[in-house]
Amino acid sequence: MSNILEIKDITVMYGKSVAIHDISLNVPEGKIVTMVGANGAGKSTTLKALAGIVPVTQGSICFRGEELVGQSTQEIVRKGIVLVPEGRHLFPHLSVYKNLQLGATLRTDKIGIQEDLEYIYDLFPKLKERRKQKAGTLSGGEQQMLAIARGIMASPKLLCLDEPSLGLAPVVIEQLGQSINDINKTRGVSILLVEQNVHLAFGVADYCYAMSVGAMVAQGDVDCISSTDAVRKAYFGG
Amino acid sequence: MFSINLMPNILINTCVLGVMYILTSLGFAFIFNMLSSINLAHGALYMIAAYACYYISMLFGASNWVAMIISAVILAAVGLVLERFMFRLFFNDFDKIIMVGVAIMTILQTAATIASGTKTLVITSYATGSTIIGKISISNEKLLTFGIGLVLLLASLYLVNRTALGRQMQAVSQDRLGAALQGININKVSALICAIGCALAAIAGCLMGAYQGLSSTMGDTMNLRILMLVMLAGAGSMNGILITGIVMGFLDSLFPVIIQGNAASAAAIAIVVVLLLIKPKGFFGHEM
Repeated sequence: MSNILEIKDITVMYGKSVAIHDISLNVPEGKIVTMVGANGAGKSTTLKALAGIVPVTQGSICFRGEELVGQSTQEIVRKGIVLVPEGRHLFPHLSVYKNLQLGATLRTDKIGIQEDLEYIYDLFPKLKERRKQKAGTLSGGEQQMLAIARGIMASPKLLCLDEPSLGLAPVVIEQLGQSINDINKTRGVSILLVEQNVHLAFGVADYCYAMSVGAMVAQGDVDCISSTDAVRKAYFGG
Repeated sequence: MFSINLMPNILINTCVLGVMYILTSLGFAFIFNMLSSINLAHGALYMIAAYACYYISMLFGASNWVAMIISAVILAAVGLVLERFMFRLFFNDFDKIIMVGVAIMTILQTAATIASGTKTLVITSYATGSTIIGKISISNEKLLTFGIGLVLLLASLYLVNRTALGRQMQAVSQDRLGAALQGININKVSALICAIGCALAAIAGCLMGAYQGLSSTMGDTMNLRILMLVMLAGAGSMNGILITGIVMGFLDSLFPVIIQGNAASAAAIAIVVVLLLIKPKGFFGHEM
């Protein structure tokens, strides 16, 4: 199977300190890959580097055969990588509908946009109900759904989710897992999921990477890796 | 002294001044909300646009309509330059933005003073005569100023609320990272908004230059109004500006009638200060 994304030995520095060091990671086409690890392990930084938000000092990021290092966020979004950031970063004073419209900023195919909107309203009926409501007035779970929905509106080939379960109730997290699965299965979108919630991460993912203190410490199929020491260490900072 | 007979006139002046205040403040508010930068030079840009209009029509014999349009185009270009070399360069650096703003203000004011000397200049009227509506006679100059202002105001509201550019602009003011992740080109949107904001101020300057005459300090007067009504409305509010602009226009129309001389302006500002003490964060919510 071919990889849609190949990250090879990337290093990111914040000023003089190394945030992540020689990180390599592959996402196979149409699969869900998860990255786990304790706080400060560098998972979010990896995603930000991928989205072009922080500059990569070394290494290469190859997406469907094209080099992404040095490209602007706009170009990266246009190529089909969309990051749903930690903390959601919605537009709180705009309506749900306008938030979704903004997700499709770079698209011009009106019919496709309309179809995606219908898919989203199908997937998250709450958003359809509240489409005229301001995003800031939604509940936490609804806001996360909106953040993901806004990401889908860009019609991504690879959707990166940064800690979608943060601050959500267990029952909402379960729904979230089902939605992520649906997006992957029915839309064929490859997904790179950064998570602290092991149940969600291992519940949906096919393959897993574990990070600790800026470096990759373990990887493998979810079934095999979930019990290894490295993952336990990655989590508990051991 | 105040008599009820003056009320229609006060209200007409309120409309004219209010619309002009709002028009000038919109550009300031756009920059304030989108780039979190206080453009202290905004009033000076408004002033220099009026001077540009005057000199273009004087030196090249252009009609003042043409001069107004040329002046607006020049100021739009200035807006682009300011975005590129001031707001983008010093983003999130409050001190530098203020310093550069003051510097630009001083340079433009000095230039205007040197150019005009001690003469009092006035842009020739865009319209003459007057129209009688009901029992009240209104000068066509005022009607025209109000009319153009209102049209531009409605156009700006349409731009912000109904177009893709307006949507992107609101997105950038509400969450820069979120906006960047949607593929919005923040620099391009900022540049366009700066250009539009400066052009709006320019047109207000050209109209006011005919209505009230030119002076190198007209920018200061306007700057004070801009700051007042943006603060009164509250950060991130655009609809609020529409209302505080009218309030400010009303105070500036009413007080000269009941109080003599410069005290009128001071009284109007004193009221705004009191209002701000009551509600330091402004009276209106976020919608930008």
